[in-house]
Amino acid sequence: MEERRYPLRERRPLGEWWKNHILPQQDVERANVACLDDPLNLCDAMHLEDASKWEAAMQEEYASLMANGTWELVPLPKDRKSVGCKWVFRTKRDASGHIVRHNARLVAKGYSQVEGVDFNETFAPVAKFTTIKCMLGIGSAMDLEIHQMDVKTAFLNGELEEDIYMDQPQGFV
Amino acid sequence: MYKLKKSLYRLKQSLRAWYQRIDMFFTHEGFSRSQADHLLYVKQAGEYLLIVIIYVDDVIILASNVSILKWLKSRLEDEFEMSDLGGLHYCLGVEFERDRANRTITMSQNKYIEEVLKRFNMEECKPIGTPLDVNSKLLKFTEEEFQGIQKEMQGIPYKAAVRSLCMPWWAHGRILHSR
Repeated sequence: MEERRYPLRERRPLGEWWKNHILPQQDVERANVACLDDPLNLCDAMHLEDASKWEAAMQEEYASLMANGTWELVPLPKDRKSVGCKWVFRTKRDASGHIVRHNARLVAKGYSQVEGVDFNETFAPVAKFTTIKCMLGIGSAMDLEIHQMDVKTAFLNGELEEDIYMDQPQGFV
Repeated sequence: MYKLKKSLYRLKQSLRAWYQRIDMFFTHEGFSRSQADHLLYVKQAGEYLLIVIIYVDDVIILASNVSILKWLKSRLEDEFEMSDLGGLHYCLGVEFERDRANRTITMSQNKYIEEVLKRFNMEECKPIGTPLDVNSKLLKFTEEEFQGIQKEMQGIPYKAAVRSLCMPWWAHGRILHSR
């Protein structure tokens, strides 16, 4: 009998590996968002069992925006276009995966903004990873206290230099 | 129609507006901004040392003693709406484990990687040395075949999968210091 030099199990060509991992159609869109269980839009959120929690989260966000003096109600000038907005829903979890809170955010559809009209300059305030690693190394060596904080409404804290007009949010017109 | 007076999430300029605000805060508090990384602030006077790293809305604080740490936290809380997450444990998808006795910090992304695998239905996958089929022949597709494959591929979230891999690389290695 001829000696087999490879295992007996069925071999699947590697080039088709992804066929084992095709997501059901309804999950494909969801794979692109941060968490599988979060509602994709307002309509979704209002039909889930957590609807009341999402609604409370929206109310809280809206109240915080109002208290912050984020906008004033004005008519749109004829020569300007408005920026759209939508609600984004996220469940916040801790390191062990337990739900900490429901979070609703009103976000502008910034991708429709036109450079030179709606904005002039952009900047991403992200520290380099090497900076973080390096500083943690120093902190560890010097036995420093290392804590973290999170700014709840970071983006709502900046003053705008440009004039931007936005649609009123769904559910709060 | 709303005319915006303050920035809002996902506006093109909101990140910049936020940075200007927090930069002003740390400058006023007497911190100096690093030339190497503008998101790194240091304040040193006499006995104490404060180091602050900003990652969008996450703030990591290193302090030489507890009272100076408390002072900075209360200053930040006066100025912004903050939540205090205590000691550094989980930040930016990375778990931090500190061993103060041995002066080491271990970073791991197990949780993040498991989440990604789960999201793409690949929990059962096996690691492989050469992630490529070495025996496959490369062929040229006809226009018709190509369109068929393109259609088939549309349902597969490649972009999202690749994007979620952009994070894990950075925690490789270990921050270690021994006396």
